[in-house]
Amino acid sequence: MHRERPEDSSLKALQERILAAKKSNESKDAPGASPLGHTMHIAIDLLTATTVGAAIGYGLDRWLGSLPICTLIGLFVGIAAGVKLMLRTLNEMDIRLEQKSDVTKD
Amino acid sequence: MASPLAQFQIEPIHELPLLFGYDVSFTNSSLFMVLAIITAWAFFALGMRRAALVPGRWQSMAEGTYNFIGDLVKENAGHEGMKYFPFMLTLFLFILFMNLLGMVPYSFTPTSHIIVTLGMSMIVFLGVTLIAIAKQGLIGFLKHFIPSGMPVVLIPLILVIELVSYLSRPLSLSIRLAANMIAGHTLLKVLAGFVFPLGVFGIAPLLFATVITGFEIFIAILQAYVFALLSTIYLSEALADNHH
Repeated sequence: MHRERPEDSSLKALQERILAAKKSNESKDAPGASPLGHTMHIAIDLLTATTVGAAIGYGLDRWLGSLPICTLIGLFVGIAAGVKLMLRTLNEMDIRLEQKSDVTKD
Repeated sequence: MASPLAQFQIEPIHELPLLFGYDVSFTNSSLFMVLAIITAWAFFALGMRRAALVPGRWQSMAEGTYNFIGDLVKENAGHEGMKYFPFMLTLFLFILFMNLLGMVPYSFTPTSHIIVTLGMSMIVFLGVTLIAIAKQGLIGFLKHFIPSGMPVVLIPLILVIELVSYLSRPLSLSIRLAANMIAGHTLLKVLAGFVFPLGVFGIAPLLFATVITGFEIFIAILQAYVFALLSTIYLSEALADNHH
């Protein structure tokens, strides 16, 4: 009994260390969720949404023969869609930041 | 000196006759796709050939990859999404090995071409959209695009905007992968082009290129992961009908 005591405490210390390591691993961001990743995400979303909107407008124009009108409408709709996607990404970033600050408070 | 963009040139290896007016020759791009498939197969088949209860290094790498994507699908798409796990693993491995084989000198990177990545993202996009319509019906699918409590006057406008942002998904998915590959490989080539003209001082760009090579291998793995992750997130949105 007496001899097992130090081993016991060292096991306990080891377990604590494992738990701490696991916790620090959990609070780490998943790869691809870094601020730089989010910034790239926003840039690409703005670009592609605008392109897709304008392309749909241009396709409609080619079909209907009303050249500048639908392209312009599509362009603006695309820009609006890009901004909408950007706002969604920023909201996600906000939520993640709040969660992070909660974790550090605990 | 060759242009830094010459590495993205597609060259036919075996000419084939036109198919419905399209050139379907076997090119260096096709060759490296085939090589990627063979490497991915070899990675698993040879790694698991002598499957042991206590895995060796190779076997644990193969099992780790399997579990990595398995956890990814289970966490994001739930138990129902596990049906699509084989597809996600295939997609991840295909992109991963195309990216990694591209890091071998004198090789070709098929993922640096938007048409290749767009082909893959369109498959994901069409599949996910069809799954969503099959699961929720066309009305339920369209309901996703309209936030609850929206004034009736605004619904057509919001619907159009949301539809465009939904349609831009495959393009943004493919551009993210292709742009990362193009940027990294061009940067490496430009840096390597500085080494010899600078003589003794060429050691500086050489060291930098070495660092960037390591970083590019990280990017190759990360972008394959991001592609699989986003596909899984889109899939989970299609599967979950009580989202709003």
